[in-house]
Amino acid sequence: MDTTLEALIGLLEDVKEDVDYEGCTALIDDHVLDSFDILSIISTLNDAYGISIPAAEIVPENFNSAASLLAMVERLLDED
Amino acid sequence: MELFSAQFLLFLCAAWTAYLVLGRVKPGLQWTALLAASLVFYVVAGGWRSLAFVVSASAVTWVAALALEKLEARSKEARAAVSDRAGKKAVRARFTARKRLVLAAALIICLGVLGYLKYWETVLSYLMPSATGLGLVLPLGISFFTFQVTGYVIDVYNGKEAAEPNLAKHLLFTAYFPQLIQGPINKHRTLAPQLTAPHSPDAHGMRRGAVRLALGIFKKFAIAIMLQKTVGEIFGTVDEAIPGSLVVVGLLAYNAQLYGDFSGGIDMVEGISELFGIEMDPNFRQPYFAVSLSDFWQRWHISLGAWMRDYVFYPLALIKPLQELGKRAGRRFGRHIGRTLGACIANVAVFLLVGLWHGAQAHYLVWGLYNGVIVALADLFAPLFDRMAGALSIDRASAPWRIVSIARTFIIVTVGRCFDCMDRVGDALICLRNTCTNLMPVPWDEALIALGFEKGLIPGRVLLCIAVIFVIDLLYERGIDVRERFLEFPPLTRFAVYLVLGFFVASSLNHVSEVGGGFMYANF
Repeated sequence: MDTTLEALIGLLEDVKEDVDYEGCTALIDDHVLDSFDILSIISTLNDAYGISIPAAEIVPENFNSAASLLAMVERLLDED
Repeated sequence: MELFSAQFLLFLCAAWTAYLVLGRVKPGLQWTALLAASLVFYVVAGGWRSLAFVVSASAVTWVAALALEKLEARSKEARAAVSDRAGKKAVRARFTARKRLVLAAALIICLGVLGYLKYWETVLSYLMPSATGLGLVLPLGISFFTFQVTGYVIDVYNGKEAAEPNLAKHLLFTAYFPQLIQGPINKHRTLAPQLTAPHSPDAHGMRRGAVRLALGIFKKFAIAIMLQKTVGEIFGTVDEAIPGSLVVVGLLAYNAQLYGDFSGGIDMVEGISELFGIEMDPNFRQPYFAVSLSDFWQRWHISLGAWMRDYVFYPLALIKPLQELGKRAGRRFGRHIGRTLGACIANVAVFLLVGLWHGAQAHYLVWGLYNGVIVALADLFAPLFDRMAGALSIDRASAPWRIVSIARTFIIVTVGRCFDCMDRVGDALICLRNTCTNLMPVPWDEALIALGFEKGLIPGRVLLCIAVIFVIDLLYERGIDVRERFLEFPPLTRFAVYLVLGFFVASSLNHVSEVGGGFMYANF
């Protein structure tokens, strides 16, 4: 799977539309994403990148922006 | 040692003086005054046996956290020494297995002790009804400090938290005296740095703490204590003929009593902590202004909810079978069901666990199931409710709809309280049935008298006090910092307010001798 920011934003838009993933850096802090969205994003990213995101990674720092989500994905891919 | 007693006041003055003096003489050791005060409080309030439990839980989690950190460091070293990817992966897997063993051992010891002391007696009574009880007594605050330290160890395991190398500092985090009676369940990252950092006297912060303490005393004594006897008499012996109107009065009184007791107690200990310059994690955010049951549980006992979310809900919702179930349901029933089903099942499990946390009795499990199922159904059918609101042209952002939502949530919460305040599920069902079929809409005080109770069990002044708390919560809900506004009042006005509050508290003191001054959540 393509590990570019554009590809990841495409996946996020499949989970929840009408969110400014390119500009928003407080997806969790501003309550843009709820727990259902977080679980859906994890499921989508697990399938798309062949990783397994554990519950311990569910922290605002990882989910506040598309860039931080990509950084988490790259780190988990590196650990795999 | 009760929080509202001359003994506690003396203890608090001594602890506060020692803390400030040590802060001036030896700031680096100021925290030791808090540790000494916490241990003294624990021995006086809970006895030596309770102290042994808190020290043991602290020691076990201290050792486990250090072991986890050491294993992680060794894992990093070993991975650095290996060049190929497969080798690194094997090293990580080997050390992860060892870390899991350490984590499991710490959790089994801490939660095992809690489980044995809290549930074994009840389990035994189910298995062998004729057997005599073991007389197990829960050490003071064991549920709260156990959850707090197990959360800390899980965070260290996940690399979210650094292990505390100093046992005495970790003991202070575990046994910090304001949190011991009924929480809140503090996060290590927010509480521990404050406990060990030097604090100099901050007059404004202490005044804020004093206001919160006074408000807590008011809630506990002018409301909760005053209603305790009434609730006890209404629901103490439930018979088939209990009038529905009396049940409604009892449930309304129980709602107010529980809120006054728990949030009042939390205000008291948070206020006491603020006198030392330490802010504990929040536990309440105007719960009775919630617009849904899910919203209510994000405002009531917040620290337990956060613990359950981080350590139970997310790990459970992410297990493969639930994820797969969600995907299959999504393909069959549509996207919304697919994304919510797994989380809804995890939610029901969490609420059952919260019910079990209150006690192993069947009525707590029914209470948990009731809440979990309603929250789950509300999420699953959210699109249907959206369509209904659209068809009826309901503006869900409007003030009238918000009021309707608050009232609806209040009713749902109150029905659930039935399974919480009565020891038998059968009694709760009788009460609910009679509320629907045998309301007997007579004036409630007449119904009470008919049942042999004295007149005026809920005096008008308690209703006045509830109205005061309602207004304070309403102001907070509208974003007004009531404490800050109060401190801006002229000193004479503030003195007059304290005097009035003191009058209401003083008028409850004769009830304290009757019903005691303990806290309901201290039993959990």
